[in-house]
Amino acid sequence: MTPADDHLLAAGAPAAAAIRARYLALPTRRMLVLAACFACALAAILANLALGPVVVPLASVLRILTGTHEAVGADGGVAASVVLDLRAPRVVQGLLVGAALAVSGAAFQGLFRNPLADPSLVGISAGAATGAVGYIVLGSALGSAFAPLAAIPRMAALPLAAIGGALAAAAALYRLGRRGSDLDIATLLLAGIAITALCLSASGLLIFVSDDEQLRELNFWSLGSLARAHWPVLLPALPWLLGATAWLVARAGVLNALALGEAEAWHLGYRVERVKLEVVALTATAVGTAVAIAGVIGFIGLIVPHLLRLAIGADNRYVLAGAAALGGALLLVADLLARTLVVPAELPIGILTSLLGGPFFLWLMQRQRCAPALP
Amino acid sequence: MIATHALGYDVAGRALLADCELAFTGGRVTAVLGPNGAGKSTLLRLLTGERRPSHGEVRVDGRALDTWTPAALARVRAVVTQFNHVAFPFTAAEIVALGRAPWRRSDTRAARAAAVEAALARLEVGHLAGRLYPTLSGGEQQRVAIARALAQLDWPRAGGARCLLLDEPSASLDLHHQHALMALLRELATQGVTVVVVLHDLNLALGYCDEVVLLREGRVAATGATAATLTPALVEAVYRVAAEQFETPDGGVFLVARRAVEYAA
Repeated sequence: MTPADDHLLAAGAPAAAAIRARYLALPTRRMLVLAACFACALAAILANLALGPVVVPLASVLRILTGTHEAVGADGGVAASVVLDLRAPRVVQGLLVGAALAVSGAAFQGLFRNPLADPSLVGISAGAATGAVGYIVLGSALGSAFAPLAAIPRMAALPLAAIGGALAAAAALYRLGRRGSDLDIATLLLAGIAITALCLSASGLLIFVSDDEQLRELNFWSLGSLARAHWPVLLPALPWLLGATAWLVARAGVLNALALGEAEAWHLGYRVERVKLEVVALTATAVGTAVAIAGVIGFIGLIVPHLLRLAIGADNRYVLAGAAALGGALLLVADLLARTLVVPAELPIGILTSLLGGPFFLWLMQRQRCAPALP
Repeated sequence: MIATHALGYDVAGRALLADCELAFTGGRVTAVLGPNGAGKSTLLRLLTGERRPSHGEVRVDGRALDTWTPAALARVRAVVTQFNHVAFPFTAAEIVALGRAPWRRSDTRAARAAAVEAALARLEVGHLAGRLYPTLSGGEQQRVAIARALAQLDWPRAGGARCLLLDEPSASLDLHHQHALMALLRELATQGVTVVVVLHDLNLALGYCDEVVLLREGRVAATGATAATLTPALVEAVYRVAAEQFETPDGGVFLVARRAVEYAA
């Protein structure tokens, strides 16, 4: 018997069975974690509908949602109006924006093969904000120059302008953020910094030429907020948000293959060039629309996918689905804090997520430096 | 199975590879040899379709490479590349399961699991199935990458028109696994697979490969049956080392490089 055989026997049946049991246990664990993510989202939805300056009991919330709530006296009517007209659009917006940001983050990280590539860190959100700001400040001037432009309703045009800005930033990032055929995270982050700086200065210029009313509106984009959630704002953005997010979730398989490398994904039969364009465009669409309706909200796309990978591994089929639920839940919790901590005022939600995300990012960087095997 | 005609590849006006007329047939293991920068990896990239040739063409199974859809190509040829860096915490079993991507429309869950398990076991990495790939050693990662290619080839059901291309697969393997790998390549060849493997070790080529393609400065310096082609004189001319050839009692041949040779300029 050779030493090699000996080694095989030593690592033989019992050990193999134990390892196999662990491997087979993974799907169960994944399902539990995914179920927990969706439970969190559901709990966050109910909490956001019930809590606030006016507390509506959960039982009433459920009755209002199912349409069996009867307006008993003056109070009942107010509760229904608070839940359906004020809180429901805000919950839908928070859920979808959170899902879009988290899923885009996970997809972008898959595309760039690096867990630090968050769209808000590499300038995509800044590009979207610049697009939106540009439309607000210059839109009416452009509209008077081109009649067809003026015909597009404002609420429909704003997401389009933001998507345009996000696409431009993503295209620039894709060109600049790579050295040769290799993606290098330092180059990527530096390119992101440059793009963010450019976008900020462009926004600054636009703010310089804007009037008072526009200025108030612009403040909202830099900090992020769900406070402007109303059905008329939300509805034109819904198809873009839902479509791009769902499409990204459906591309989990090819993102898994891309984790091996672009050449390897090609060897596995994927049209890599087309997929890269697709993911960049979808991410820009999702992030652009999210920014158009809620402003720049950072770090959701960084934190959520990372936590999920820690809990259930890297398989994007689970990470992307989980990110949709957990991203929505996290943003709703942040919004609950934003609108209850300093009543009657409201904290901008972007400040809260950055407060949470900044230290997290630093921790992640520190951790990466300690463990070079997992860059 | 794979044939090239007047194949060439230029970068910025410089020819990395030129005038390659090669044929790789099923059931044979062909070693691609040559010094650093001779164009071995470039040749492999052209054969896989990863790069488009600047001149000439590659034909797979009689059809020009660019008439294949990527998905159809992925069902007849698998590739093991040199660098297998993965940034995310996939398990070894998940990495191997990615090899089933070309078969995802027809694979049942049980068929996929069976193929993954067979490939893991064949490369002696079954005990690593649940380990995170980025935490494995270089040699273990290499074996998992080869197992992924086996799963892609639909091994052990694979037969007939399939090819496996490997770029220096033995580089990070220990002696046992180098020879175990070469034996696996021979086994695949007996099942009809076309195997093309870039190697550095001439003796692995002499021990296990039917044919060699010897590259020098982007051109084919020699090609043919292994033992007849890899003569000390040719090795000296291509690699600039003085080499001696020895015969083993069972009729095998091996080469020992004795010293570097510097030619006067």
